[in-house]
Formats: sequence, C-alpha cells, structure tokens
Amino acid sequence: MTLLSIHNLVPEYVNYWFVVGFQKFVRVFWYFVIFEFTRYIIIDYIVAGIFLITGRSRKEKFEKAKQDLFTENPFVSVIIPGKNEGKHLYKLTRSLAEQTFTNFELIIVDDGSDDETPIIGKNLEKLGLIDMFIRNEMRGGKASAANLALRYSKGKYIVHLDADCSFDRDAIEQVLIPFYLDDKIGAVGGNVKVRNYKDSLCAKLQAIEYLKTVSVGRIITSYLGIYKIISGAFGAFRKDVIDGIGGWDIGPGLDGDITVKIRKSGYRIYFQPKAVCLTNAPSKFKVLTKQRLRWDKSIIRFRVRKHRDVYSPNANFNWLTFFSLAENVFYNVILDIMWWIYIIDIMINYSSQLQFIIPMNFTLYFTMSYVQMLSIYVFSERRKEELYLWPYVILMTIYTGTYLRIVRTIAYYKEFFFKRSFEDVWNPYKSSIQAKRAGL
Amino acid sequence: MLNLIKQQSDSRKIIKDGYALLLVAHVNELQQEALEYIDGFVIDTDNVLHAKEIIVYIRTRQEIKVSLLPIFINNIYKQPQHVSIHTDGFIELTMLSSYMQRVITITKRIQKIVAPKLVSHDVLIQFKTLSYCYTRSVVLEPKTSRRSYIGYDFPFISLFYKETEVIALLQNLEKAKQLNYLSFQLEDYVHLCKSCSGNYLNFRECCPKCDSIDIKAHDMIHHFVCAHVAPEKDFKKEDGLECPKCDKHLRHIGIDYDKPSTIYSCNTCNHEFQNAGMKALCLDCETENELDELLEKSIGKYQITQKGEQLLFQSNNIANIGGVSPVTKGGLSLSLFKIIVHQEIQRIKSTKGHSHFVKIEFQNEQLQILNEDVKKALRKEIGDIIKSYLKEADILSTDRFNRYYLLLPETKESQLERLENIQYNLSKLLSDNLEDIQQEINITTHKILPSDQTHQYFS
Repeated sequence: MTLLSIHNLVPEYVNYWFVVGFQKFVRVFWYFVIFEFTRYIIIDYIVAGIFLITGRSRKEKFEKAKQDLFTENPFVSVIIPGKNEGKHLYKLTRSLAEQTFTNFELIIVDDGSDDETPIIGKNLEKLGLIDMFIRNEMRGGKASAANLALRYSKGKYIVHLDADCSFDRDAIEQVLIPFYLDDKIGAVGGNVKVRNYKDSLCAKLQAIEYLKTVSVGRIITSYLGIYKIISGAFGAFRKDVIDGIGGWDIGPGLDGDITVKIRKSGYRIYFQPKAVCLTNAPSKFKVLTKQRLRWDKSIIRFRVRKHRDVYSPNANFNWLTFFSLAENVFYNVILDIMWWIYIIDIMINYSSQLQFIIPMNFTLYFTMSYVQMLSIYVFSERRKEELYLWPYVILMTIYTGTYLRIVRTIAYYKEFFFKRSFEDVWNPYKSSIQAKRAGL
Repeated sequence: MLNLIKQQSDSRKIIKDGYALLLVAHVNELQQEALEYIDGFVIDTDNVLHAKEIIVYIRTRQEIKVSLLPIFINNIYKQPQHVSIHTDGFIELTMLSSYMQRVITITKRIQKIVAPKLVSHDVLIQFKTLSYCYTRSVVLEPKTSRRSYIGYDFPFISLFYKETEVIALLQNLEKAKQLNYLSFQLEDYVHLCKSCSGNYLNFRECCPKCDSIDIKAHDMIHHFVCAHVAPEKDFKKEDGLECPKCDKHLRHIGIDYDKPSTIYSCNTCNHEFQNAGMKALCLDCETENELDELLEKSIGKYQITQKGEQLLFQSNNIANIGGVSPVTKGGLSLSLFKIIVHQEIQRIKSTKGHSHFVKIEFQNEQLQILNEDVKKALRKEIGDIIKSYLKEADILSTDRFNRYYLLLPETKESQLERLENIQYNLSKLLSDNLEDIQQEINITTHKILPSDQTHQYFS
C-alpha cells in the first residue's frame, strides 16, 4: 500500500523506465550513459576526489613555488593587443596597479583602431600608466598585434590579457606561480569568469557554462595533462618558449593554436584556477552565435587540419598532446556527429515511445547539470556569488544540449567543407587570404 | 620742373609746389638741418646701414610732427625690405609730381594731430604709431624677417624697440588694441623661447626616457602569412627581406607584407618607443624648451579705429593712455611720479610737513628667468597687495616688476606700520609661488627733507 502510494508520486515516464528495465534504459540513453555521464560526472568526481585528498601536499608545493617567485621577482611583460579598446584602458591600468605582483611592464598594441584609442593610449603612456603604447596605423589582426608586443617585451614571462577584463588582486601572482612548480611548464592559463552575469539570460547561461567548461573543465584536463587552450583573455607564457615557437599565428582561434604549438615543442600547459579574471560575455544570443561560430570553426581549422600531425606516429609524437587534441576533437566534433546519429536512432527505432524518452532525457540532463554544479561548488572560490546562478542551471540542457550543439554543427559544416574561417572579418582579408593559400 | 638747391656743401633740398624734400645720404646731414621746416625726406644712398640710421633718426625724434614726416627711397638705389617697410616707398625723382599728392596728404594730416605732453615712453610710441597709421591710412602689416626675434617686423613701431624688446612691442600694440585704438586681424602665431623670447628655435625629436636626440626611426614590417611583426632591420638580409619567423622571402608590399607603423630606438639608452618627445632649443640663449613652455604670441595686422583717430585730435584725451600706469590702475607712471615727488619736496620746503618716500625691492634669481607674461601678472598682484594698504593720498609707481616706489604724504613715522603688513604679505605671496626659496623683501623708508633732490631717491 505504501509502495503503491510512492509509486504514484513518481511521474509516469519515470515509472515506465523502471518497468522496462535497465538494459533497455541503456539502449535508449546510450549517448548519455556512455559519453556524457562518464566524462562529466564520473571523471569529474574522481578528479575532484583526488584533488581533495591531495589538497594539502599541493598547497605546500604552491607555497614553495610562491616563495620562489617572490625571491626571484622576475620581470614580467603584460601585453594587451586589441582594436578599439581605448575605452577600457584606464580601468585596466587601475586594475593592474592593484596587483600584488608589481614587477611588470605594460605594453599595449593598438591594432589600427578607428576610434579615440590612439589618443587615450598616448595620454596614458605620457602619464606613465602604460610603459609602451604602440600604434599600428594599418590593422594586421590580433596575432600580429600580439607578436609586435612580444617583440618589444623585455620580461622573462609574458602575460597576455584582453583589454576589457579585470583581475583579482593576486591574479598575476597566481598565474606566475605554476612556472615555479615545474621547469617543463611553458604556459599557464588563467581562470576566466563572466562579470556581467546579471545582465541577461544569455550572460547567465554563459556564466554557468564558463564555470563548467573553463573553471572545472580545465582543472580536470590540466590534472589529466590534456589541457588544450589558454584563453586569450588571461594567460602567461615563458618568453623563451613563446619566442622559440615564433609567437602567435593567424587566427581566429589563435589562443588554442598557440597552446598546441607549445605542447608540440615539448612543454606542459597548466591551468591555474586561482588566477581569476573577469570578462564581459555577449549579452545577446545573436552576438553569442557569431562568437561561437568563430570559435567552433577554429577547432576544425587548427585541431583537425593544421595540427593533424599530432595524430600520426612520428619522431615528435607525444601521447598527452595526442590525447589533448583527440579529447577535444572527440568531445566536440565526433560526439556532435554522434548526437545526430543518436537522434536518428531514436526517431527510427523508438518514435512510438517519445513521450517517455524526451522527458526522461531532459530529467537526466537536468540532474546531471545540478550534479555538475555541485562539483563547481566544490572547486569554486566564489561560492556565494555563484549561488545566484543555481536556478538557471535547469536551462543548461537546452542551452548546451540543443542551442550550442546546433551552432557547433553549422560551424563544423561550414569550416570542414568551405573553410569559412578564412573569410571571417575578425582577421583582415590580406592576412587570411595568404594563410589560406599557405594551407594554414 | 625739378628744383634742386644746394644750400650748403652737404645739404640738398628739392622744392616742389612749395613743399621741401630733403635728399639725405647720411644721418650727419640731418643734424645740420632744421627739420621742422622740411616736408619730407628722400634717402639717397644704397648703403643699408646709413639708410636705416636716417630712418631711425627721423622716426624716433621727440617732436611727433618731424618723426611722422614722409620718408622715401630714391629708386635708383636698392634697399632691402627690413629698411623699406619703415618708409613711404620708393620715389622716382624725375617724376616727382606724381608723388607730391602723397606728401601733401601726409603733411596735412600731421598738422591735424595734437601732440601729447608728458607721457611715458611706451605711450608716446603708441601715440606715434596711431599717428603713423592715420597719416598714411595704412594697416600695420607684419612682414616676415629673419632679423627679428619673433620672425616679424612691423612698419614704423619696430624702429622703437631693440631686438630683445620685441615682447614689449607686442604688448604695446596689444594695449592699444584693448583700448580699442587699433583693430586686430590674426595672421600667424609665433612660438618663442621661455627665456629670451627668441623664435630662432631648433625643434628636435628626442627620447622620452633620457631626452637624447640620438634616436633612429625604423619601419615596422608585418608579414601577413605568419603574422610576424618586427622592425625592418630584423627582416633585412643581403638579398632582400626575409621573415625571421617562417624564413620566407618577402617580395611584394601589400601582397606579402605591409609597413603598419614606425618605431624609434634611442642610441643612448636603447629605449624603444613610438611617440618621440619634442623639444625646442633656443639658438640665441641655448635654453631647452618643452613645447608647452614656449610662449605663444599672436601676430597680425593692426588698423587704426575711429576711436584711435579721435584720440589724435584731442589733447586732453591723451591722459587716458598717458595715465595708465605700468603697475595697474591706481598707480602712476614713473615719469609722472618723479614730478610729483619733486613737487612734494618743494611743498615740504614751505610747509615743513612729514612725508615719506618708500622703496620696496626684492631680488631673486628665480624671478629673473620668469617670462614677461608671468612678470606682468606678478607685477599686477604685487601692485594690488601694496595698494590694499595705501591711504587715499598715497601714490604708487614702479619701473620694474621687482621694484616699487611709494610716496606717503603727511605720514608720520608712527604711521608707517602698514609697511610691515605689506612686507609680510609680499613675502607670503612669493614664498607660496616660489618653493624652497627664502624671500627677502627690502623696504627702505626715507623721510622727505627740504634739502632732498628727486634723483637721489631713484639712484
């Protein structure tokens, strides 16, 4: 009688799966069980567990590295390439003036701005708030601007920032510490979070996504040694390493590209979750779609096409580099294709049971989203602020599972068959056409 | 009909239609002439120095009517612009008739002018300049001149100032403009040395870090295909340009590469920068000027106004400009002040009153290098402070920014305590504006005695 009443409280579509049994459940939800649950729940929690267990020894190593950093007190070059970023520059200099690590020069490259950026930059340089302001009258693209800054930087380490970001007071200190953990670390990625998450639903969903994929996702990949992208918004590089690989190549997607180049040159990449940088995410879906189309195209362009040599056994073959790119391509490109296969599979074989499959699928993803959010809570250093986002987690299934997947599919199709990234106005045509001809 | 009469061995006069023009080849010839009976002059020499001396001699005569007489240059001689702008042009002696109307017009207009009495040097120059504009119906138009400290010469008025006093010239014209005697039309701005007001400046780009001028500009090259950007020297190889990043040969600008900017490197401190500093070295006094320290002065055409013309015909009107003291309103020009002091000595002789003469002076090297505008502002401020402690009958004058004279009529020694307040406030003003400098203000008081001579106060 009691069982019956509990049974009545559970929705009918859930009861259905109890009745048909586990085997059929796995058959129908194979995509979720094999890929999503394994990767985003099991592996995340295993790493989270290891993280908690090894927390003390890691902390001791970090303390030692921090002492080494301040003992050496290396000269660091903070470089900021960009176009039409003048309005952000003063705030940025104030944010950097608050840093706990102070032995750095600030180099800003204006990549052919057509607003008041040159005037602002020159004035800030005159006032001594910027050490070097370089203006290119002709736009050359972000990679060329970053390379120009690199040419004139004198620091042992290069910290690459975006002008519209702001930083925790210890952000530069934190992003430099990992270099003192291991000589083989060639670059360190900072933890980029969304500043304007209260602006719109679009920004809120991105804030949750950044927490999942950037904050936690990169802790996991970094721990596994397969961390694959140092965000252009905040990353640090050893000058000798970045000089050795010739700096940045033409984008879009140059931050992922340079990470692979550093990996290929034999260095490790490290993610530092404590080096926090806040950035503004697109607050409209239209802008977000454009941004994501650009990012997703770069996966095909760089990870599938330009750096395909990492998949073939050769003298420079490295398993971690292979897994790093393979994981990226598998979880983005392959699983995207698999998802469409899964949809077709369901439509052909289980079309009569959609009233049970669709709600169950959503339930599984809702549950997984909240379980993931719990792991974010474990790792986060801004728990209280991030509680604000919890009610919106329920929408993540539609956001990541549907919206972003469709955008990704379009991007992959366009890039794979038509190489559309070379037509992106993000990069000047004069450079893109040369890169396309050279097969880059 | 040309009438050339040789009166003396070295004097030649041309009499035409009852007007006498004097041919002059050397200034000595003028010293032997009664110039008040001459209606004009013709410079009859090709010696530039002699010509200039003749013009200066005539124009700077105390008698206004003589100083304004027409001066021509015999057109068989060439004279440079810096001489000819102060004259009434070239004259062809064989066609004298066609020039006589001009002589007549000028002399008739000169006759209408009521010469002022008892005015300061500056005011007299101002009056003469207005008269010059009126008698010639000309606009005072500046002419470029490498000889001038400011790069421009003005007709007539420039003759009254030494090269180094050109700021005073501009100030005098400015004063006339402010009084609406002259209208002004801007022609140019000149930038002058903060120290000597010269405009012979050498503008140099320099390193913003060490100020060295030993800097070199390098073109930047952006190689499109690999996004490498560096100075051209990094790309240079024996056989052309080669990218140091991807080793590719750069063939075609606009296709393979472009030059998006330029960057400087300092050969002294190795600093690299894009925005070079700019300094101006004064070639006269060797002062290094920051650009924002240079004095900017407006140069333009001055034209006499109706008010200016009216001033020339009213003898009492001259007090309006003659009374303007170099201190500020309420002070007297030094020449007038000396007369009053002289009268006060005479009065003391008969009344045996208790009047005092006071001299306030301060010396400071820092003050000496101030430019004229700052000195002027300082003079006004000091004048205001002193006047705030003066009584109705007290009189103030000054001859330079750091020296002031007071005449305190009917003031006993026990009533001189206001000088202490003046001393305190002036010290405060100077110490507030000139940091870390101990200011010493000397106030000397002298009781006026019947036996005193005016000149001994001003020695």
